[in-house]
Order: sequence, then C-alpha cells, then structure tokens
Amino acid sequence: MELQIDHGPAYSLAVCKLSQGESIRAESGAMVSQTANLRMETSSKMGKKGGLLKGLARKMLTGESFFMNVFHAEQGPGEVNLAPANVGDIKKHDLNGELFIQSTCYLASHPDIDIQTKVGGFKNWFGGKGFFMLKAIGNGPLLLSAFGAVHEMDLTKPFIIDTGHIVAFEPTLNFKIKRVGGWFSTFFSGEGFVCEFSGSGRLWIQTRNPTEFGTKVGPKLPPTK
Amino acid sequence: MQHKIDIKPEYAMLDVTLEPGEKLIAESGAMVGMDTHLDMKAQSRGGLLKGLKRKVMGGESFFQTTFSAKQEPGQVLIAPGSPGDIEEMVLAERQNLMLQSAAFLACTEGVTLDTKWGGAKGFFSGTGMFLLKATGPGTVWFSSFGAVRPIRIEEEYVVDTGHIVAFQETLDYSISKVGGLKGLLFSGEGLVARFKGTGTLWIQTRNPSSFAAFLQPFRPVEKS
Repeated sequence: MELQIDHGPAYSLAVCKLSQGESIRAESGAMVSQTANLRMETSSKMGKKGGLLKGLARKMLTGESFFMNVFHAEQGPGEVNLAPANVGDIKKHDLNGELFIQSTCYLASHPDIDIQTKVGGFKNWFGGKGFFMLKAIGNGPLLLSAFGAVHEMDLTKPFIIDTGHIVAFEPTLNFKIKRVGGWFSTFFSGEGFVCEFSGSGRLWIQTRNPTEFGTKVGPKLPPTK
Repeated sequence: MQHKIDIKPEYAMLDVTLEPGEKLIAESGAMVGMDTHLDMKAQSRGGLLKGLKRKVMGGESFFQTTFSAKQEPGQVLIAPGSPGDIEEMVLAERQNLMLQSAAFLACTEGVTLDTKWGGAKGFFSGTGMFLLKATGPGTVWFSSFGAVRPIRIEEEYVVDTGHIVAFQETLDYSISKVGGLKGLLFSGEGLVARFKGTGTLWIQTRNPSSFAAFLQPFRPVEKS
C-alpha cells in the first residue's frame, strides 16, 4: 500500500495505491475517484473485530456514519483517491500502537487497524460542541484530515487545547475535558470546552475550528423549516 | 489578447487584457474588476431559447457577461465563486470539451457552449450532473472547488459525480451507483460516473455537495 498526499496543504487529496490483495478502509463519503477494478464493500465493521454494535455505538456517540467503506484490490493493483468534505490538509501517520483521533478527523486506515469509539467524557453532552474520539489500535498507515492546516506539537508541559482544534494525540498524554472559567465563560466566552493535556507525547491540531466556521457562515443560510 | 492565471493553485484569478475589438465571455458574477472603458454586457448567448435551455438543462446562470474593448486595450479580472484553481484549455476548430456546468468560468468569442451533448443524461438520471459542451476554436477557462487534478484514463474509471470538472469527448460515461444496494443506501458515496475510453478527465479535490452537507446543521431554524 502506497499512500501519497497531493495538492496540500489547502486542498489535500490522498492517493492510495493498492497492490493486488490489499484493501483500505475509509470514512463514508470520502471516495473521490477510483480505478474500476476496485470492489467497494460497505460495512459497519471498523476493524478486524467489531460489527453491528460498534457501528451503532459510533453512530450514536459521534454522529458519524454507521458505516465505513472498504476498497479491495482483488483483480490486480488499483488506486482510490480520498478527500474530506472540508478544505484542509491530510496527514499520514504510521500507527504502531494506539492513537486517539477526533471522530471528524478520521479519513482512512489500513484494514488491520481496529477503530474503537471512545466517549470524550460525558461533560461535553452539555456543550453542544461534540467532542468524540476514536481510538485506533494496531499497526499500519492511517490518514487524518484537518480543517485548515495540521500543526504538530510535542507536549512536555501541561497545555490546554480547544476541543474543536484537536486532530489526534498519542495515548501517553493524559487528558481532561474542562470548561474554561465557569459556566458563564462557557456560554459567553465562545471557548466552550477545552482539553487539558498533561504528560508528554505528540499532539496534532488543526488551525481552524469547524464549529466556529459553521457558526459564522450558518446564520447566512436560509433557515430550515 | 494577453492572459494569465495568478495566485495558483489555492485562490486562482484570471487576468485578461483585451485588444480593441476583442471579447471575453464570462460566467455572470465572475467579474472581480475591470478598466472603466471596457464595455460590459449581460446577454444570453445564442439567443433566448439556447440560453433558457442552458438554464434549465445546465443549471448554470441564464446570462453570461461579455466584456469587449472598443478603442483601446482593457484589463478584466475574473474569479470563480469557490476557493480553488483555474485551468485553461485551447480548443481547435470543432474540438469539444465537456464541462460540469458549474465549472465553466470564461471563454473567448469563438467558443460555443451547448447542453445538447450528454446534458440530458445527467438531467434525466437525477444526478445533478449537468454538462456543457464547449466547442472551439478558442480558449476556455474552467474552475475547480479545491485543486484540479488531471487523470489520464486508459480503461475504466469511476468518479463521484460531485468531483467531475471536465473531460475530453473521447471518453464515454454512464451514471451508476457503487457497491450494490447497501452501498447506495449506506456508503454515503451517492452516484458515480463510470468512464470508458481513452482521454483526460479533470477532477476537483473537494465536493460542493459534501461541503454544503457539512454546513447544513449550522443553518438557523425558522421560527413559526
């Protein structure tokens, strides 16, 4: 499997070259184009394990699609191009162990990687700004998508990140979901919920916050009935 | 006529200088700026009926804007509505280029635009894929949402209809779904165009419909 990111950082496209017998799992709706010899399988399985219940948990918790698509190169080598809905970059990560991923930032992964749904803490149910995470476990390449650019940070001191800017982080980091400065601030500062990290490890953030963008542009759209 | 595309690839803009007597036809609303002495006229190209057909079949603007230089040269700046790139193609006499209608940005005077070819296929299959046929001689400029990527097709190739920008007439296509019934209902992939033949296809790396779907939850709710 050869994964190449083109047209970055603004409008990245993941070009996934599969050898015969290989396959790749991708977020629902991410397929841009593909060679005709690939077979697409729609599945609620999110890894080697998993199945209906996991798919259901993902739908209920993250609001993401119940299903993912797996592209199989069965009759020879093939190619599939993948992209997220929003403008921004794609980051390739070679997973060796575990990684926490903000659910909207998952784009694709090697089929041997198991994707589990993790709740980011029930506190965030009140915030309206969902912060749900997936936990990727296994070995192999993984594709993360960002709204805006991806910025990599190696944390060695406690640090606070707005939940809307988190892309992914290593499990060596401890995290706590918190409100900033009491309820008043939560509602009026516009900062909502933040994630307080401690310990050391790598963190990837996105330079734009999808919720902030939606909040700016959304009111200009005609109202829904 | 002198022309160049600036600020490629993220926020490309077309910069054209017309010599006296020359004309540029652009998608309505695409003008960014122009010299004061240029003549600007909104018109339905090819008469009202052809324009109406384009509106109904092609989904693009009924009117196009024609810029012309009379006594002296003049400059006009043209940009598409979405963030993304602009590509240009020079068409020989009777050479055709198929364009997703929203991808049309501008053309020189000699180019004719028609929805006759294949437009009906998109229209009647309910795919929302409306095609224009641009016929030379002349230069046509088209725009993409995100980056534009040429793909050389030798055999069969599958593209999400929302990612098609343009393709050469040597390619034939049919609209289908991917992955069977389950795929259609649950894959989130919608409909795809299956291309056959040999030729170049240009795709855009972002899909306007997917982007609109992202914004949908942020729309205000109408108070009754």
